Formats: sequence, structure tokens, C-alpha cells
Amino acid sequence: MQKDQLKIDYGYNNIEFNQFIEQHPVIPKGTLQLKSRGSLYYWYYALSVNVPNRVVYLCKAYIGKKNSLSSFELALLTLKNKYKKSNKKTILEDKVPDVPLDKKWSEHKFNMKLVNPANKRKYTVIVVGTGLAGASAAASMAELGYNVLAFSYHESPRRAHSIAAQGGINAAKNYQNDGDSTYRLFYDTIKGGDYRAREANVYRLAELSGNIIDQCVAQGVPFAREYGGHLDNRSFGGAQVSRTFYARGQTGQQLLLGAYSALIRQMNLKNVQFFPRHDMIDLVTIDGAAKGIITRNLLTGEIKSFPAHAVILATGGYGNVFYLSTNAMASNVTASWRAHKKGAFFANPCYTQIHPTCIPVSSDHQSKLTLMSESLRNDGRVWVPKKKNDTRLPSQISENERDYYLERLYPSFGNLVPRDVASRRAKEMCDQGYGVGETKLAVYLDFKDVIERNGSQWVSEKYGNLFDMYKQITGQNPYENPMMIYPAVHYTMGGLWVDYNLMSNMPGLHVIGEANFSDHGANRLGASALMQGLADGYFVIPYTIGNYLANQSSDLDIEHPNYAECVQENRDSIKTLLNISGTRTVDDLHKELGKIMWDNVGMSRSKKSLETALELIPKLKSNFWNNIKIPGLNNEFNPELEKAGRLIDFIELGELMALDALNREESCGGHFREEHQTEENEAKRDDDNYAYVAAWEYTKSQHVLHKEKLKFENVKLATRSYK
Amino acid sequence: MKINLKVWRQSNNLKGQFEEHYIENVSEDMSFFEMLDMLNNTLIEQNHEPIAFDHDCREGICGTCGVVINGKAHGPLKGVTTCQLHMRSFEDGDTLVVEPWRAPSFSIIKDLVVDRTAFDRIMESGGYVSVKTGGAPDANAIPIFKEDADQAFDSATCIGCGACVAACKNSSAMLFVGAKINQYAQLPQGQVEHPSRVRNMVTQMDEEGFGSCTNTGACEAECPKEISVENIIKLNKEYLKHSLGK
Amino acid sequence: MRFLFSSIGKKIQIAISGIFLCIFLLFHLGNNVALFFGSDTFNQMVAVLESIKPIIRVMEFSLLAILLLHISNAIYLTRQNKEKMLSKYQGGLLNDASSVNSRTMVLTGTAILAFLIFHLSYIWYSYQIHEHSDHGDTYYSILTQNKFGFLGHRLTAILYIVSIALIGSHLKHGFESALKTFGILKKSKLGFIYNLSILFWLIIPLGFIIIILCIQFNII
Repeated sequence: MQKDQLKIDYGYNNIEFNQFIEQHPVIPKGTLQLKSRGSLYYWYYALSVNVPNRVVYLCKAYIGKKNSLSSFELALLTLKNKYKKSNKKTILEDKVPDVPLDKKWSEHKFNMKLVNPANKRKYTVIVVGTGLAGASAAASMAELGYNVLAFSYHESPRRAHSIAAQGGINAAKNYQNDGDSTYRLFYDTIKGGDYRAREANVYRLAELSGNIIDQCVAQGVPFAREYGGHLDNRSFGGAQVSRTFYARGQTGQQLLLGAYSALIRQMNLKNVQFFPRHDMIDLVTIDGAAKGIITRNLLTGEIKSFPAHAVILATGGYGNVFYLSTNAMASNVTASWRAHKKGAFFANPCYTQIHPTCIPVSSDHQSKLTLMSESLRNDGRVWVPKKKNDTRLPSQISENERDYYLERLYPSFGNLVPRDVASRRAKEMCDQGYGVGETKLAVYLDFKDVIERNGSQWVSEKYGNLFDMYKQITGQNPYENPMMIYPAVHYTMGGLWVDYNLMSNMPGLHVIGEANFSDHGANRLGASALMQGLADGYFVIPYTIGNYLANQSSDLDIEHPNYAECVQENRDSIKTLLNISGTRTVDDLHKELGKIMWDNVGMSRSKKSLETALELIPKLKSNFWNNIKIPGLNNEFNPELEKAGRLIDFIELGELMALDALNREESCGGHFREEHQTEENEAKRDDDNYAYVAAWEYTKSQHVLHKEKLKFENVKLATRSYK
Repeated sequence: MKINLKVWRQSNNLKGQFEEHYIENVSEDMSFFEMLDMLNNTLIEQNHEPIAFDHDCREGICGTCGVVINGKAHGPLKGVTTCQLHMRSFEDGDTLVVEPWRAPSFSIIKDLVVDRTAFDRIMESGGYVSVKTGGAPDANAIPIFKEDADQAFDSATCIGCGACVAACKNSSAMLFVGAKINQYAQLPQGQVEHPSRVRNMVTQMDEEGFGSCTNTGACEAECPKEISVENIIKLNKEYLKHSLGK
Repeated sequence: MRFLFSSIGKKIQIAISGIFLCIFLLFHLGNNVALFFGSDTFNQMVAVLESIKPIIRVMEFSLLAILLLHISNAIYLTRQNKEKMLSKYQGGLLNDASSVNSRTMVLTGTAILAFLIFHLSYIWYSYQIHEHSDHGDTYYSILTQNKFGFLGHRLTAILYIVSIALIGSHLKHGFESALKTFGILKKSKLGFIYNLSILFWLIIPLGFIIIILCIQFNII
């Protein structure tokens, strides 16, 4: 009885409530209840039938009227909206404005809603990951005045793997006067992506590319210069103009340090709070919108929630699903995957880029692969012996016993065919038994001709650091013996689905950089990853986040029960993990996953191999849950525990990759299906049936496919040919 | 190869000690860390705590890794990070003494992992050019002498690994700070804030408890990016100039 | 002047005072060269210096102040750096890159200080009381007498030569290090100053040593 009186005090009216229920038949029968937490009261709706999530939180209770609404009326309104939302059908809206291509971004920028400068600091935005995209986004949003919380599992933002990019960054500056333009960069990127990217996003990327260079130079990034004092450019694969800006072989490092400096400047101004060695382990959603994250402090094991008005993921790619890749050891899919499990769609997971010139695997103990810049193929010649299983040393194999297969198959492009083609051919040669080296999984990249022609001095000036690196890793001198190379996983084009605003299907969850799927289609061109990360971070998300936040109330219910529940769930699941105490180490199982993925969902895929993968991965998953062995405790620095949490997400992702690859009955870019190739073993696209983005929704029982049809209004779809 | 490993073990605030491991079947082609990976795998299987060590890119660029091997930061080779060090650099039967970076400003987190956030705080005190996103002039608007750009680049190659501090008998961070100051000193973009940057970064460096430089040059010799001690000399000059000219 | 108390500021103080002490050595050697011109010339020169005693006293006190500045800053920084060294490597820190004299500055410095006290307490003190004595000694004969603490004495001479060699070692690193602290690059316009280093670490100490040897072998 006391409770009823209390309800009336807070504005409850039984007649009104009954009328409301009659008016809204979608809402299942139930009662409105008041519950106390501390000294405050909150409205809840409790369903009459006993189902999961029977009690739904509505709003805080207060006496009297605020904004002319009593808390009871507000509770009814929230209830109504809840059921309206849950009944809405999911349609993937790309939100691209319907104006000509070159007007889209400026038009969209003008039409976006703005947040009043005085109100900006009332909004908290979380940025997860502080590589190129994350650091630049956090810094730019902090400059605008938002309250930014940035998270990284590294000790410092400067350790992010963006740092490892060697070659350069593309920009349509046309400083070389060789006919470059925004449209040409757009066209090259769409074509390089094998016509599987969204036109509007790619055009915007090309448009913004020039601003990135301006921004970075102003930050003090020491790009290479000509003697006249102006910026130097070099050429890269997939383009006929010279548009790549570079800082020797360390462009990624210099750009990351630039973004890092912008970020620490904001940290110094107290506009950004940075949380080092914090791993995002879950996303908190309230009424279907992203409202914060759960992190684990890697030093203390503390699991904590951080509420926010919006969440931005800049957590990179998932190449480590193959165990061996050129990604850093800690690169992982956990943030994206856990967001995916909370409702964000995962798009095109099967698109992975395999880089042709990597140092081959030497033994079972190999922990990661090292990339040798693509530029080596300008002067090196790729060959294998003509005889199968030839064990002679390369110097003993005479010229007419060598098969320069790329020059033979592609007379006009020769050794400079795009990455996907070069990689696939190398694998083909090795599969047929022509491979070299102890493992027979390598081909030669020979510099003999160029050394004879121009001298080793010339070669050393051009490639010295790469040759040194090769020597350091393999112990072989590439000036005397040909290099051995083999393809390795390098970049993942797939990622969480985003619209033109870089927001996923889940309101408030934004995804930028390699973590989203948007700009590279089925294959990324060299020197475009840095460009995309920085365009997203510096020039796209700071605008589009305002458009989202302008529609949000600045009140944040930090006491919402979802936060505490989510923290508890994650504590429990870590406890479960630690309690398994089986016999297999994390690395063991990861290697096993890597082998399944590489053999079956790697460079070339077939229905059979994908079905094998779909059979093996679930077994591996159950092996993980029964047999994993994690030493140590939660409340300490425990790298094995970190790795275990990441591995289970990789396992689940691997399954989805295989599923996506199986669904895509065509070959395009980095996705090659053996069933779909021309007579000359080239990739065969199916534009009629597969010109769509495959966005996968996670449900308890299975993955559901949603399609975003790709519209090509400005480029004509054509077959790539490099003959 | 067979390797005798004497490795430093230390966890939360406790006093550390060396632990000995005898490792067989080490392949020459393994990297140093792959050898540790292998040892860790065995340790886990035998229900022992694996050795914690920092590492990430394993390509020698991220600056996360770094241990002292037989008294040499990043091991015996010049201009190479620990992650790029391979076992062929050692002899069969060698004893390797492996320790974390030791410096009062770098506290030990666990085993071989140290806390280098002092570097970030130094950077925070001024290691940037104050430019807002979007407000930049065209990249070619200010030409820069190629020599200046190249020199700025040479300083900018610092990966912030902390080997200079670890190798210095005084645990001085002058090479790290000098490299950052000089990158900006060479470029027109960094000039306006240059005087205050120099003063603030040196003040922060002192506050973090790094020692002073006695020009022994150990930092340059151990730097995996071979950054020159000239950066320290230039830092001295800039500091003198901008402290007196204030 | 807050900068004087920063780590670089302290080093600048050490460097400036060190350079002054170097310049003093130059004068000192210059005076001693008079020994080669016979005992009369030497005695006359000392007498001249005696006659302007007030000026000399001021200079001596300035020198003392500079020396104290040099030593106190060095002690301060060394103590600070010692704290940083407490936790260095059990496995030993191998620094084959740095020179021995750069790593032993504190040791050589301390030895030089001891030598200085020794030197002053015998020769300088004897000179100070000389005017009150009537033994008919000249400055020259005091200096070269065969008695412990004076240069005619074999063991003392050896002690002097060793100490002067240590000064050479100290100055070899000290002088160049001071230039580095002032921010002078070898390849810059002022870089030629580095060439003067040889004057301080080799020529001056050698000059002193030759004088001592000459006294020992009665050449002078």
C-alpha cells in the first residue's frame, strides 16, 4: 500500500495507464513499478509473463513536472518508444545525400546539425584505439570542445601499429602536374577495390586527401622534399600518376607521431583524458544505442564501465585471425567483435589483403611475418625453377632453367601486377611443387640483373634499408643470393558496417579507419590506408559526430543498470575463462586457428575448403572452451589472459569469414573463389548478383545477412586486366 | 643451439631476482623473442608463470620492446631493436643475462616490462606544434630546405623505446628530448612555440627524475635508430639561448 | 634565473667554471716557464707578483669561488646521478662506446682536489710565509728543495706527474664536454674551438711535467 501511495506521489494515474496500454497493443501486459536505488526512485515496467529481461528500466522518478511532463508521463513515453524501436525493421540506409558526386560532402556538411559550442563540453565521446584514425579523431573532437575519453591497450598512443606503414600516403595534390585529380584518385581507388566500395565514401576520401598533407606538414611531419624545398612524390602500384607522399621508409611512423602530438596537446589542455593499458572488452548499449564501454585495466585487472554519449571505434584490422600476419602481435578484433555481438553489423569480413613480398615463414616458432616494401618489385624479378622440387642452390640453376612466371603470364605489367594477382600466382607455383627454400613455400625475387646493370651501389642507395632488414631477419645476403619471398596477410578491407556518417547501424557507434569496411572495396591500393585513417579521423568524424549528438540529450544516465550488469557479465566470463585450466596454451590454439584459416579461407577459397573451415572452427571453439590453459589471475598484469580473450573472438570471427566467403559466389579483389575464374585463372566478378555489401547481423542462433546494394552512378564497371 | 638464460623476474612491488633457464632446441633463425615465446609456452605447460616482456610490432619500429642482454641495451648488435635480434647473433651454449630497462623514472611493472609513461608526460609538456585541424595552409606554401627536412627527419626517427635512458649511467633522457626538440627546431612550423617548448620539456624531464648528461655518448651507441648525440649538443644550445633570451 | 637550477643549467655552471680554471692553468704554466730563464728571473717574477699582492688576493679568492662553484655543482649532480645509478644492472652495464675518461670524471676530479690541497699546503703556504723568514731562501730554492712536498724530492715529483696526468684526463673530457654543454657543434663555425682541446689535455700538462723532470734532473 505504501508503494502505491509513493507511485501516486510521483504522478501515477491508474486510468491514464490503462488507457495507454489499450492504445498501444504492441506493448505486452505488465505493470509500472517504482524501485529505489540509494535515496532515489526509478520507474520500471515489469511484464506479467516470465521471460528474459522481464523488467525494463524506464527513467528516473521525480516529483512535480519538468519540461511540463511528470515523471510518470515521461515513463510512459519511454515505454512507447521502446516498443516502437524494437518493432522497427532493420534497413541499411547509407545516408548518402542525393546530389551529384562532387557536391555530396559539401552539401552534407552544410545540412548536418551542429552542437552549440557552449554545449559541446557536456557531451562525452569515447574513442577506442589511438592509432592514426583514433588519435586524429580524439584530438580533433577535443579541439572542437567535446569531452573526449581515449583508450588504448598500449602504454602510449605512439605504439599503435599504424607506425609500421612503410611506403607512403596518397593525396590528389597534383604537385607533379601529371594530370592527377580528385576524380582520378577516386577512380583508381574504386577500380583497385574491384568495384566493391561505396562511391560516395571513396570520392569524399579523395576530396579530403589533400587536406591531410596540409595538416601533417603544419604539425611538423618531416616529409621528403626536393632540392627546391617542395614536397617530393613517388609512384605506387595501381596508379599511373605520382601522388604518394613519403618520409623515407617510415611514413606511418611520422604520421602517427604527428597525430600523437595533436593528441597529447589536447591531453595537456585537459580536453582529452587518456587511459593507457586499457582493453575495451565490451560495449554498453541502452535502448539499442551505444552509450559506453567496459574496459579491463591490463595492469590491475580492474573491470570498469565508462558511460558516454557516443562511442568511436578505431581499433584497426583483424589480420591476426591467421595467426601469422604482418600485423603487430597485439592487433585484434575484440572491440569490433564485441560491438558486433551487441548489434553492430559486420561487413565483408572475407575481404583480406595478402601482400606478395613478405619474408617467408622459417619455422614453426615463427611469431609474425615481416613485409618488404612493394617497391622492390620495380627492380627485382620473380622466378621459380622450371623443375619441380629442385633442391639446387639458386646459383646452380642456369638462366634457361628458370621460370620468370609473372613476366611470362603478364607480358605488359610483368613483375608489377597488383598485389592480389602476384600473391595468388606465387601460391599457385608453390602448390604445384615449384617452391624453393627449405619449406618449399617461397619464390625467388632476384636482383642479379639490376646489380649487373647499375651496380650494387645504386641498389644499396635505393633499397639499402630493405636489404639490411632482409639480411637481419634471414641471415642471407640479398646482394649475393636472390631474396626468398612469400605472400602474407597484411590488411583487412572488411570491418564493421558504417553509413556515410561513419556510424554503424547501431545509433551512437561510429567506426573509423581500418576497423570499418567503407573505402577500399575488395582490395586496397598501396599508400591508401594512411590516407583513410587520417581522413576519417581529422576531417569526417568531427563533423558527423556533431550531427548525431545534436539529436541527443546531454543528460547521461550514468547509473543506468546496464552498466553494472555489463561489468558483472564480463567479470563472470573472465572467471569462466580462468577456471577452464585445460592443457592447451593460447598460442597453440591460435596457431591451429591460423592454419585452418590460411589453408581454407586464405588466398584462394573453394566451396569445399570453406565448408571444411566451417566444420573445423566450431570444433576448435569447443576445444577452446574445454581445453584452454591460462596461468595467473585476473587482478594482475596477465598477457595470457588478454590473448585468450582475443583468441575466442578471432575464432568466432573466423567462422563468419568463412560464411561470408562461402556466400560470395564470385571472385573479386582479395577474395578469390576457385570456382569463379576465367580460363586464364583470373578473378571473375559477378556484378549482377554480388555488387552488394554483405553486412552480417549477429543473433544467438546464427548470422543473418543484410545486403546494401552498391550503386555505381559515376564509374562503369569493367574487368581489370593486366595482361 | 642450447642457451642458458638468466632472466630477471619481478612482480608487483616485490623485490626481483634472477631465474635460470636452460633451453634446448633453439634454432638460429628464431628471433630472440620467439625463443622467449617458446620458453613461455613450456613454462605454461609446466604450470609456471610465463615471463612477461613488452613487444608488439616485431619489426623494429613501434618502440614497445627492449631488454638489456648481457649489459647491452637491445642486445649486442648496433642499430637493432630487441625484436629484430636473432639467435644467430649468439653462440651455442652462451649464457644470456636478460634484464629490464633500469632507471628510477621507469618503474618495473612485471619481469621485463617497465613503465615509460614519463616519456609521454615530457612530450605532453610541449612536444607538439599547436595547429588546429583544418586550419593549415597548403603544404607547399612554405618551402623547406631539403637539408633541413632531412635533418628534421633524422631526429624524428626516434621510436621512444627508452634504450638511451637504460644505457646511460645517469639514466638521462637528454637524447630523447634533444631529438624531439631538434625535429621541430629544423622546421619553420615549430618556431613560434620553440622557446617555451625547450624550457617546458627540459623542466618536465628534470621533474620526472631523469639524470643529467655527462656526455659519455653511451646513448648514441645503444640507440636502435642511431640518433646522434649532436641532438644533445643542440638541445644545450637551444636551452641556453631561450633561457637567457626570455 | 631559474634555468641555473635545471639539470642543464647546473652543467652550464660547471662548464663555465671549468673553462675559467683551464684558463688559470694557462697563466700558471706561463709563470712557471720563467724557471727556464734561471733562478733570478723566476725570483724576480715572483717578487713582482708579491708587489701587487692585493690584486693577486682578489684573483685568488675569485678562483677559489669558481673552484667551489665547480665542485659544489659537480657534487650535487653526481649525488643526483648516483641515485639514478643505484638501480643499474646486476648483469653489469657494458659501455664500450663511452671513453674511460668520460666515465671517471668524478674519480679524477676527486684526486685532483686532493692534489690541489697537497700542492697548496706545501708550496703555496711556503711562499706565503716566506717574507717573514730570514733564512736567505729564494722562491726558487724553496720550490726545488729536496724535501717532501717540494719538487726536488723524487717521490713528490712522481706524485706530481701522476696528478698532472690525471688533470690531463679530466680536461680531455671536461673541455670538450663544456663546449658540448654550450651547444657548440664540431661542424659549426665555432667548431675550431674543439681543436684547442689538445692545448688543455696534452700541451699544458706536458709543459708542467717537463718542468718537473727538468728540476729532477737538474737541467734547470
